[in-house]
Amino acid sequence: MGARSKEKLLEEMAGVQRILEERIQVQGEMVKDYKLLLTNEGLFSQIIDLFPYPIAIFTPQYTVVTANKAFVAETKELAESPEKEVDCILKYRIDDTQLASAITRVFSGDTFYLEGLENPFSMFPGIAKRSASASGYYSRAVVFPVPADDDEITHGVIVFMP
Amino acid sequence: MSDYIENAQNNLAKTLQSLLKEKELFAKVVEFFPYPIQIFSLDGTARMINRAALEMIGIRSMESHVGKYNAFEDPIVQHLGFMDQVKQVLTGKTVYLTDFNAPYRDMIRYFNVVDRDIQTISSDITCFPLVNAEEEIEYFAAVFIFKKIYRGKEEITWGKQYIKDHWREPFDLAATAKAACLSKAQFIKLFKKHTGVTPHEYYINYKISKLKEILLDTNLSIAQAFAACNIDYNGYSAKLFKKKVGVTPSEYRKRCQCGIST
Repeated sequence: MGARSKEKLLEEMAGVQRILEERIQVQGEMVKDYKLLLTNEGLFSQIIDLFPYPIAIFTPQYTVVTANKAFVAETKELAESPEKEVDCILKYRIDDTQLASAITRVFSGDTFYLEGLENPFSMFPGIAKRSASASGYYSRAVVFPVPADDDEITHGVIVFMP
Repeated sequence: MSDYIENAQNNLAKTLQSLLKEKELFAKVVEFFPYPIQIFSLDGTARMINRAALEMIGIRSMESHVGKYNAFEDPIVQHLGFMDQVKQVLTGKTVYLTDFNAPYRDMIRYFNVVDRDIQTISSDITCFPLVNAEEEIEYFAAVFIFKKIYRGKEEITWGKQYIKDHWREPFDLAATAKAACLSKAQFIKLFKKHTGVTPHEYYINYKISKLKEILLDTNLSIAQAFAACNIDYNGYSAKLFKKKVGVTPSEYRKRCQCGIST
């Protein structure tokens, strides 16, 4: 084996080592993330579920994939048929322009802080609009995006506040 | 070889992702929640914080806070008189703290948060217990609904502007503080910090500067110039002018006419 091929071999070995080091770093980050997730796995769902204000998590197709206890309790209270579970947002029923815009534009990555909402729950099926004075306890909402690892917004979250 | 490692790694990530899909969604909702969320053990030690807690409260890093900060030993919570209310969360109640106005200087002093030009962080805090399947409280959470961050400079600019717009009127501290969206006490403290003088001194100085401009109009008598500024020309006001400018009003006018700088 000539001197040149020895050098080439050494270069290749260094290249492989570099790739391995990069991969180990990625793996390390991955392990760290999942370790954190596993350690706190119950905690995250508890925070959402026991949050004292109604929370609904929805997809770009306006399907409600998860809602917390406060949301279920509030929608049951307001619904005409309380046994039916809320599973989507009916965009055409949103009269409030800022809320309508927030529900759509959240998937562009924007966060919205809304105030003075009347009947915000009437955007869910089975919940009728009420008079302004009886439109409910929750008149504020924050709508924010949840991105995936590739930064694509996969879910929107709406939190209703008094 | 690198392809083999990459494939193995991607497969592993995919498997874990599908296993933890829902958990990951919850974790992300907490992580990207636009208000600070902190989770505490029952002894008050911080166990977890989200991204907004780092950015909005100014906590330097996860490591500097988690496992170190203790809500039950927080001198600011104690000083603001909220400690008893906070501890009620341990009985299973959801606690709502309104108008929690934390002086940022104290936060820097006690907790080594990022040194920023912030005077006070005003928030409503909701503390709620986190219970396990046996309905036992395991942790408690605190969500900080930020109402306002008093940065100082901006509020002072509003206060100064109010003084400039109302300099002919008698000084009204309450109205000036209101224009700055601050309480009277907060406004005086902050104003002095940023300008070196109290709001009243600033008002007087501004009024005198306007009077100096008007005194240059020789069509007006000294008393008329004072009256144009809504100041009675008397011994007190003449003395005040001399104290601030260094010369009497008539001497000032004379010097200006002769081009002598005062």
